[in-house]
Amino acid sequence: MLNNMMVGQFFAADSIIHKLDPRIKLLLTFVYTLLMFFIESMFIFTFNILAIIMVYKLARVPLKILIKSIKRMLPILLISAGINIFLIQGETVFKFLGINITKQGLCMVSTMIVRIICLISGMLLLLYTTSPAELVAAIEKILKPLKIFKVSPEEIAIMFSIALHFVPVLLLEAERIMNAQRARGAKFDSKHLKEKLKAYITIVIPLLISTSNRANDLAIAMESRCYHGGENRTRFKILHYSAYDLYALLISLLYVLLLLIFNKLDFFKIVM
Amino acid sequence: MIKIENLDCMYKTSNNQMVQALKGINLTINPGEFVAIIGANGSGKSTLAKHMNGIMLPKEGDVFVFGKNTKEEQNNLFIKKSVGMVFQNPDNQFVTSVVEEDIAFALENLEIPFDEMHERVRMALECVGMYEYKDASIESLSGGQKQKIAIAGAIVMQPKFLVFDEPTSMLDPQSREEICSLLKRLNETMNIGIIFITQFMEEVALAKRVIVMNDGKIVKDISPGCLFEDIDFLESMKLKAPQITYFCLELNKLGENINPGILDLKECADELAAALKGNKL
Repeated sequence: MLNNMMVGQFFAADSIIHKLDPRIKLLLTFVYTLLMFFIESMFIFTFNILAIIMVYKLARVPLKILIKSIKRMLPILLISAGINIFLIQGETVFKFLGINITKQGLCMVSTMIVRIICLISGMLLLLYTTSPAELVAAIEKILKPLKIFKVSPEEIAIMFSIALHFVPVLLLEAERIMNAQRARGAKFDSKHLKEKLKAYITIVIPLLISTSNRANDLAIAMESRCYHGGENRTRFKILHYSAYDLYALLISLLYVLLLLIFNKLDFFKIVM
Repeated sequence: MIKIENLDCMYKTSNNQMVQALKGINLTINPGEFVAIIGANGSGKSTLAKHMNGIMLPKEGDVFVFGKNTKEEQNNLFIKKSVGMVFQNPDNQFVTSVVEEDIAFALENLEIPFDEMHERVRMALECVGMYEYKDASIESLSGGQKQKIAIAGAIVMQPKFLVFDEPTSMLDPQSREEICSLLKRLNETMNIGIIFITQFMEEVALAKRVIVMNDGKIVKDISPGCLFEDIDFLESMKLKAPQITYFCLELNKLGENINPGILDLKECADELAAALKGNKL
């Protein structure tokens, strides 16, 4: 089952983290994301990674899934790191292909990679431990004030749920199209950038057509299951705050303060 | 009951040409009936099915579900609740990625209270034999299991009729067999009327009544046994009888008197055994 899991797919387990109210989890994920942009020290990032591992253990989500997801994003991370490392000026450490690689560049790139990994791990924890129905219910509650501007939070929430469900489906579809085009001679592995780009273009149009057909089928299926817009729908998951939510808030608050204090101190601060 | 009167349907193709998908359809399907609809590609089967639960509304003619006209807006929810629909590709029918949450989707739309909703989801999952997968991710299921979840998502509305638009065409033989026996069970134990569109003639044998469509018209409304006896008619409709029918016909050509209207493998074996015992062969 783990092998079939897609990035960000809900992982059902009986854990304290799963039991937390999704609104609290959304709020904590938001605060955590902001916090990651304030941190500059590699020591704190290391501390944070250990904390993430502990929370994943607490959530009974196998770390294997997280590592697999991060691995999938690694090419994007490495490309952006590769671009940045050549652009930062400073004290030269060594030369590569005639370009100066600086101490500042290396520090900045390593921090960037660790920061993104921390961010991805936090966001994925929310998706792994919150079922789509809970997320939809939470988004609906959080966006309720938008009703004043005649925006329907129910419709935004259902769109979010469908998008979340269809991302892995469309990824698989893209893979299938890629294989079909490869069988017809498309050169995705070509060393020439022009040929490679040409091959990738052959995926775009079939994928767009298939996505549009899927959207049409889904709309018909939703209609035949009595979907009539967001208003007045009852909920399969009803949200309740519990004592666990209060503890989670307090522990998170302490954690944020601790990290901010560490950040103020100059331990292992990155040289810029 | 579903009553269709003088139904016509025209649509525009991508070349801006008008095509008449349905021509003067008159049809009545009673509650608890098991009806198969067959026909070559483009004969109008799916268009007809979509008119039965109000996904498509008639421009010419009328469709009534338990006396309520599908054209009238206020009947919309009643019609969709009474006539559930399951499509060919289960992947395109799910709105969320967790089994029980997807099944609950129709109940959320019907504003069913929390406790009743959970009870009905449990019953629907048990009915299709998938209760142990209630927390599973839909993506981790096989094609046959996904189609069972799609069926559970329709029966949870407690419909009087279920329309299946080629639900087995993307499945392996084992899953096809499971889905077919599930349809039979839904019809026999829950008395749900089944309208089954299929291209597999072996599956047609499940039905008590077969409607053959060609060029937007109903050309025959008959029992499966009688239909398969008329091979020439089937072939003129670009259709084929089940292998068992061809086997019986070949035996008849050899001078044996085996009924070509036999639909069941066991029944065929019994007739053959009887023929062998009587030294007929």
